[in-house]
Amino acid sequence: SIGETATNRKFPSAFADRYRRQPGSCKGRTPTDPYKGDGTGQSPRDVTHTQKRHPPNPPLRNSLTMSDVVPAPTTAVPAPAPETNAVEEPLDLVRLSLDERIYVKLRGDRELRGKLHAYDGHLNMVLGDVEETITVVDINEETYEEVIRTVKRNSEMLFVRGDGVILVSPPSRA
Amino acid sequence: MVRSLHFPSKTPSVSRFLFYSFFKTLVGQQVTVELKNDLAITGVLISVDQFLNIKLDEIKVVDEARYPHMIPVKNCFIRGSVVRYVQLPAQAVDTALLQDAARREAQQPTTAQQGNVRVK
Repeated sequence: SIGETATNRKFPSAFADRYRRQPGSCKGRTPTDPYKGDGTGQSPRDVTHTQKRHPPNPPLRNSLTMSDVVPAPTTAVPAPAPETNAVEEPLDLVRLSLDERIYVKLRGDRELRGKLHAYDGHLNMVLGDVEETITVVDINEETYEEVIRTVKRNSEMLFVRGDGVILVSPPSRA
Repeated sequence: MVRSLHFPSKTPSVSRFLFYSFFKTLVGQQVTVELKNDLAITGVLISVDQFLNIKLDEIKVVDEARYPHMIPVKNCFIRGSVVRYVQLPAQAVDTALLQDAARREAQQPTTAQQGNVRVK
């Protein structure tokens, strides 16, 4: 029959209906809306391309869904939450340091001291007025003496990627 | 409400994408991206995505003498995971707004959980 593909010979008709291609479905581009929520905004790859829309998969029975693994939020849009929670998790302690100066130890023998403006669960951070200290070990080829020196750099505003962060602390007054 | 794997359009703009939203406000600014391999690139921020991949235009390598292989390159795509720092112009950042958003983000489940749950 017209429109029959290999797909609907193997699967029950419910699947075939969902996955059968509509004529002309590959043509015509629907541009992604950069202001639609978050996470569907303009990605670097989408600057010149657009994405096709696919129908969402039907929910599978007898298998895990997100709601089994992650507790569903109690409200769709959370009302402004109280500033302090009863349980202080490590990240809550970081939250207390917002707008304060902090000390950050990074991988690669680097340290930062700056004012914490923002952070997230990955420990990505934005710091202001930051001084970076890089510790370098110079080895004298003749005497094999290890000389430790530090290199300092300054930035007005710095985004730090969380995967380099080892620890966050109030600055110690050395 | 079951939270779907696809990025829901109804979540508040802060939840899980604070720095993505933050970088979107900086599109068009000149920034310096320092990579984990110590290469530093200055350029105009063209676009960013949820992984904090970055596209830069009109790029100039900071220490050009050390990295001559990038001299003819005009624009680039940088994978988010190789970024160490991004130096930003301070006047382009509203620190009060940022701090507010970070405080709100802290109330919600952290983004660190996102990568652990991949259910098909």
